[in-house]
Amino acid sequence: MSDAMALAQERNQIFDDLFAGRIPKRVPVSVNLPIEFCIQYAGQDLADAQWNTEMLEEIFDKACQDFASDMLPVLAFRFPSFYKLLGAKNFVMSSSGFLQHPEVEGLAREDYDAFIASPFNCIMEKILPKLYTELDKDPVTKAMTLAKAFKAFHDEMGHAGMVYGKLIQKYGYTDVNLFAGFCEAPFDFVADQLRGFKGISIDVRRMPDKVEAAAEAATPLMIKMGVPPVPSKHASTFIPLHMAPYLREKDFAKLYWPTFKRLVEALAEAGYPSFLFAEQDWMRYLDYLEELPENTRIMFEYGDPKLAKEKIGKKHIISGFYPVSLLKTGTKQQCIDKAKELIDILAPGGKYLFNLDKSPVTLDSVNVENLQAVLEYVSTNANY
Amino acid sequence: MNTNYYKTWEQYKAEHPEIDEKQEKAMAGKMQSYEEMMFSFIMFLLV
Amino acid sequence: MLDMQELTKAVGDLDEKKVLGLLNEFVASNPSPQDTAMVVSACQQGMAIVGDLFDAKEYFVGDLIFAGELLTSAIDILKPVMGGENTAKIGKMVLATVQGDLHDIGKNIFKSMSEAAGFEVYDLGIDAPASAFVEKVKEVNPEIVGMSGVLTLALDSMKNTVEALKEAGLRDGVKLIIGGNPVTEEACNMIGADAFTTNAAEGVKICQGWVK
Repeated sequence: MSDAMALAQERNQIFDDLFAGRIPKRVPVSVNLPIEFCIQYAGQDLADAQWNTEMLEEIFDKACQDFASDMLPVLAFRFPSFYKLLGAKNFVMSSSGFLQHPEVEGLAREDYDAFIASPFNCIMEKILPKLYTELDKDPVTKAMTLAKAFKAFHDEMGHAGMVYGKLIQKYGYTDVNLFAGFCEAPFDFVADQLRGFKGISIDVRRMPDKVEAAAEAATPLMIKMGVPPVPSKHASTFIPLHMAPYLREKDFAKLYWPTFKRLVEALAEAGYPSFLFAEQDWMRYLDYLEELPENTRIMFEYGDPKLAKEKIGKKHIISGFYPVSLLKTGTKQQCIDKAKELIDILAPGGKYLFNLDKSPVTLDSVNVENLQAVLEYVSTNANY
Repeated sequence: MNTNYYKTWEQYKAEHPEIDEKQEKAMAGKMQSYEEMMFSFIMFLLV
Repeated sequence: MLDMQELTKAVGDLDEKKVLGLLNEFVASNPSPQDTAMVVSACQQGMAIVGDLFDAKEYFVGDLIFAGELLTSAIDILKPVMGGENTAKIGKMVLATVQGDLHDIGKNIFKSMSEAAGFEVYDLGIDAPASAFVEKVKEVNPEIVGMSGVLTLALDSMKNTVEALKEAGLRDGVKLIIGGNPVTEEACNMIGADAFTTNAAEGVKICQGWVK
């Protein structure tokens, strides 16, 4: 057996234990280095490499070589090609070469009822043309644009998937894929690109009934979207959570939580655990998270790791909390001490996956040596 | 799903009485896979 | 005459129906500009309550956004009965999300709260190059320049903007505040700004302090 295969086997065992609620041999380590970070780390041009994606294999390979992780540490899933073909307003490459997400409004306030009546009709007829200028054309142009974009999408995703497969084999990563499926909490779906942060904040006050009904209508779409194409016990559906920390609990309890809970339950019933990214601070909502199906995987950004471990650590699999900001400003020793501190709090009893509190979007958001030292430290020292 | 833009195989078949049983066996999976791919693509554009 | 305390409280409670009802009634009574000025001030006090409740973690960012919207509606109702002197502002501010960054939610919250506090805000939008700041500062001669950003690279753009203001001889004539996710005291020093914040309400207080 090759070294890589032996490593993969060891790592898969660790994740099997983690997911089964057994105490693994050591704390599994993951890190998600986004495409921009990897391109900059490899010294390539951001725009060039995001367009000419055949450059990605070498770029990602370099990141895999230099950052210790049990899971494939690189990730890209938004590419400028299909967004540009569609004339996207929601994902735009800025002058700096970063694909960014400006505030958009895909759903006009007066179209709530149309969305509630048939969300997918409303998406096709009203929302897509508002967000994608090239789909706001005559039917023939529209059809041709959609065909080009669909082809580009599958080319990019297919190529990226192939690169991931190669790297997983080469470096003996676990085949666990926390990003096998992707969807949003129904409220976030309505908020993020349909109504916008500002629009939804106003709607929550002015027309909560419509917001509630829209989240309800979006729920079956999110469930359908969230079921990964290839079933596997190592696959999770990634659900990045967005709006909850910006809501009052009263609004959260009524408008956000019920449909979100139903989504996670439906995915669990279909055999797909969810991997949640609890953006910002979710400590106010730990008791809610406790209600989710056992072994939901939750990565936290900010908050109190002790409190999280105490309230949901026996039931769910916790990760995150490690401050990316410290990797920028701290000394190597401070950074390693922080990892020790988190491991001491979160590792006992298992159900803990080491990860940062968020992805370092740009190379300069961390001191690279600190990041490498921390990953190396956890990989070699966090034994049970 | 209540929509004009996504069809299950059963809905598609009901609109295409020319498809016989033998053809159906050969084509159903593939035809439906494109329906699913398009659905996933469209939804991806909104998240 | 309408009950100022009631109005202030209704704004603080973000009770839109009540606020707009009170204001419509007030405007229908054909008030003097002086009375209107008092009403505007009562609304501003209500916004201060909103800021306090945000600090106390009773309100969250969504509530701040709604508060900005509520204030805009309130001012729209009051405009016809405002005299010229009511538009007297406490200061001018040039504000933008810096070059390379397209995020504007935080900037917009800060903008509406600054306007509520009486600032005249010149908003250059997003992805604003240093030259746009320089031109606008020359044109309107503000007391304050606000720079916003979410990405780490925004810090470099902020620094470049400060350099450009220096080169144009404008730096010493303004107070500079930076805001957004990546700003820290260290970043503030590196950039050469006068203040930093990740909290819009706090940022507005800092700016008010500068023009007192």
